[in-house]
Formats: sequence, C-alpha cells, structure tokens
Amino acid sequence: MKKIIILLVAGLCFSGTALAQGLNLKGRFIDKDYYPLKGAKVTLKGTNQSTTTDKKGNFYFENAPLTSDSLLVESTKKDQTISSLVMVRMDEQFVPKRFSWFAKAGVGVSLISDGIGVKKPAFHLGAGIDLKLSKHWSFQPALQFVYSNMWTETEMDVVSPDGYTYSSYRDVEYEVNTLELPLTFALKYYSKRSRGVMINFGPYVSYGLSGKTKIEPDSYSSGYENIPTEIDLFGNHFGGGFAYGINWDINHILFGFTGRVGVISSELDSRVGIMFEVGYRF
Amino acid sequence: MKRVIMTICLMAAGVAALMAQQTRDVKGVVTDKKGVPVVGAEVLVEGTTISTITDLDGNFLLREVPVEAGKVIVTSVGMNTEEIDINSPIMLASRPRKLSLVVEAGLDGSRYTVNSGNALMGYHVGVGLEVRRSKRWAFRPMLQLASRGTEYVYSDERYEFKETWKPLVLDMPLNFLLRYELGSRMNLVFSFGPVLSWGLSGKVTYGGTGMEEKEYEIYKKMYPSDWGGPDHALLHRFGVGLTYGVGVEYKKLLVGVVGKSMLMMTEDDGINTAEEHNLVLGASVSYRF
Repeated sequence: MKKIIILLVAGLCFSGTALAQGLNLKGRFIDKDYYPLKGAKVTLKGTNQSTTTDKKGNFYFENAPLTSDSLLVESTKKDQTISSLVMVRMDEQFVPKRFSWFAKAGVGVSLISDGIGVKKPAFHLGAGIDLKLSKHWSFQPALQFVYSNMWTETEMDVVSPDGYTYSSYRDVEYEVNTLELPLTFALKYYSKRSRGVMINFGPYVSYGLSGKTKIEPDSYSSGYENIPTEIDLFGNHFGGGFAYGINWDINHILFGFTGRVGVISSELDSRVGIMFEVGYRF
Repeated sequence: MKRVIMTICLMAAGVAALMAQQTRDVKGVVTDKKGVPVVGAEVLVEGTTISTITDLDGNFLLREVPVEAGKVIVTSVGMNTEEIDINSPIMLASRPRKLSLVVEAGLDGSRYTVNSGNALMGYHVGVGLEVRRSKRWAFRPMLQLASRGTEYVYSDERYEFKETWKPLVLDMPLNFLLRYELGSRMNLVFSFGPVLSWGLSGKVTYGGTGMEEKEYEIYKKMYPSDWGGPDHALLHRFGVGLTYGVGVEYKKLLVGVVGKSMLMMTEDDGINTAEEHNLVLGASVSYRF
C-alpha cells in the first residue's frame, strides 16, 4: 500500500515536469480598432485543443505539441490562420565605405546682392568624393561646372547727339561660367542602411572660365550710346564663398537643395544662389 | 501518514499548476531581410538568463519564460541587434483601420468675454475624418457648422437694454486625439488642436425700453466708416482659436465635453486686432464609421 502511495506521489510530482514537455503558449488578439478581440475561439492547428479568448483578448494553451506553429481563430467575421511564432527580422550591420564617389547635377536661381531677378536658370554639374571621418561626419570635396545668370538694372548718364544729358535705365545681364571646388563637410544621419539625410556646409573656391556683362539698350530712347554692349567680366578669375545644402539619400539616389553665398569676381557684387539638385552615390 | 502524503501530493500538484501558469514558452524564427534563416543567433529574454541559439532553420524555443518578461534580445555577428516585444498583441487584420469618416453633433453654451456677454445656447454639427496614427494617437480634422453667440444685457430700475449676437460660422477644428484604454472596448479620449473659422452669416438684434428693436448684419460690409473709407462689417469673417475636450469612447461612439476658445476680429475699415474672445463649452457626440 505504502509503495503504491509513494509511486503515486512520485508520479504526481513528475507529472508537473511531464506537462512542461509540451508548450505553454500565450497571446493576445486585437481588432483593427485596437480593441481586444473577446470570445473568439482559438484552435491549435493540427490538434483539437481549443480555447476562447477572455475579455482582454488573451488566450493560453498548456501542453501544446512542440511542433505547433499556427492557430485557427474563429471570430464573428471570418476564420483566420495566424502564425504563433515570434518572427524576428534582422538587418545586416551597415559598414559604410571609407571612400566613395558621387555625382550631382542641379538647376536653380542665382542672384547678385543688388539684383532684380533671373532671366535664365542657373545650373551645375559635377562629381566628388566622400571621405568618411567618423560615424556621422565626412568630408566631401567636389569639382563642379557652374553656369550662372543674373541681372540687374543700372542707371547711367547718356549724352544724346544734341548735347542733352539724361538718365537711362538699362538692364544689365551677367552670364558666367565657373569651375567650383566646394570643400564641404557633411553631417549624416542614416535611419536605415540605404536611407538617410545629410547636411553639408563649408567653403568653396571658384575659378572664372568666361563671363560677359551685357547691357541692353534702353527701350524708350534711341541714339548715341544706346546700343547693346558686351564687356568681358573677368579681371580677377578667383572667387569663393560659403556653400551649404541638404541632401536626402534613398537607395543611393540623392536629392535636395544647395546654396551659395559668395563672390564670383571682383567685378561683381556678392552672389547668392539656391539650386535643386539630384545625384547618385556610387 | 497517509494524510500527510496526500497533502504533500496535493501541494506538489498545486505548485506545479501554479508554476505552469506563471511561465510560457516562446517559439520563433530569425531571418534576415531576404527571409534567409539566421543560424546561431543568440536569443535572450530581457531581465533573465534564459537564452538559446537558433538552429539551422533559424528556429528557437525559449522554455519557461516568466509571463512578466516583455522583450527578447536577438544578437548575431554582423547584424544589428533586434529587440522584439513578445507581449505585443496580434492584430487580426492585415492593417489597422487608418481612415474613418466621422460625424459629430453637440450643444454648446457660448459667451463673449471681453465685454462680459452672457451665455447663449448654440450648437455644432460636423463631418470629418479620423486618421489613426497608432493605438494612442489620431488626427481628426473636422468641418463644423456652429452657432456661437452671446447676449449683452443691461438693466436698472427704469431702463433695460438687450443685444443678441447670433453668428453662424464654419469651424475647422484640427483635433489631435489621445486615447487611453479604460476597459475592454472603452477609451478615455483627450482632444486638442487649433481651430480655423470662417463667418457665414448672422445678425445682431438689439432693443430696449422705449426703443424699436433693430437688426444688424454681422459679416456684410454695409456699414460706412467714420472717415469716408470703404464700407466695413462688424466682425471679420476669419477667426482662429483652440479647441480642447475630454470624453469616453465606447466602440466607435465618443461622448464628451468640448470647449473652444476663439479670437474674434472686429472689422473697421480693414482687419483690426482681435477685440473679442469667444468662450464655448458644450457636450458633443461623435461617431466614426
């Protein structure tokens, strides 16, 4: 008798561990309004073990087969098979390259400080290298060809053939081709491997390739000195200033805005420009 | 003796059952972006020493995880560490309901405070959209027709004077909703946001002892200015303000108290600075489809 009882005790005590051989599964269901799904019948796929979700949408299975990985949920609307597995998706660690190439092109406007507007859009084309300095910083020297077009109005004294001096207002258009070397630093924030934003700023130097100042004839008077004139712009070819911009990077395609504050030539007032640009990071 | 053994037995069984209730097993699979299994990743239950390594198919099984445990931390060489909430509920829909149509109606008490107007009953009816951003946050822009006016009363022993403002306005409250779960299908909802408004029509009626009752249009430019400039209206049609409210949502029905605090610009030969302030407080019922 005693033996039987001891066996029984042993059996009962081990049954706890025996029960733990199966899986204890727990979960919670909600609907598309984030409300708990109560009173839904949940069945372990491939067995006849089932339970009903409580007021808070919770369900609990004891001693489910080790192989079970899906659940059949029967609610008022329709039956659904749901995976009971915890899905983990891992991203590869992003190790940015120390050195990479990029190319950019942009179109926008260029204005001189006392300018009035734009007659033709400005554009630029160029390529550069990205030198990684730290996790968030890199140095991005580049070489660009820039075409700028600016205009303003000027008042000039004109002497007519019959000896009168009068003021004439003339449109002055500047057309400039330069080579620019921006030495910008970029501050980068990448949320994912291929998606991020970079803010760049730094000095640039420019070299004037060619430039013209076109003075248009005055529209309401004619005569002496009132003829189109073109003057070569460059005495001093070197200029420079400050460059800044913001670029978004989506799967290696760059797009954003870039701006300049600087001087093209000593012959010309300071210039500001803003361009929309697109590019590619290799 | 028998009794003691029986007691021990029952206790042991009870403890086993209790322990079974307090733990759960977590089964899962680790893959990379392309769905390829990650072999040999370490899966650790946060705040415990329970951990395992994924097998050749990326599968893992964590036994006897305490039910209080919230997260598992997955690490693997060359991969970003992932933290997964194992208690997050499973939504039985491919995606949450992001957009719903909202209808709303309510009764309001409204008064103009700067010149001490009395409260006048008004109403609002509206339609709008709810854009659910998360379980907690939603954005609910509405378009409402609202009557929010006031009454100015002056009286002494011999003389009585009453002026009633009843404008009808088109209000556009841009509500941000914040939900807190109260019960199984019930939320506590706080709302707040800016309101833009446009005056549609409305009249001021006034009269008193020994006076004939008169009417003025509020928004029509029909009052000559003192200095002979262009005609002006009493109030400028455009207004801005704030709205705030608290309510209880049961399923899709929201019942609550909503207030508005609106600036009103008086118009005298152009838009002047706001010179009246309209305080509104009322009950509102809304339903989202």
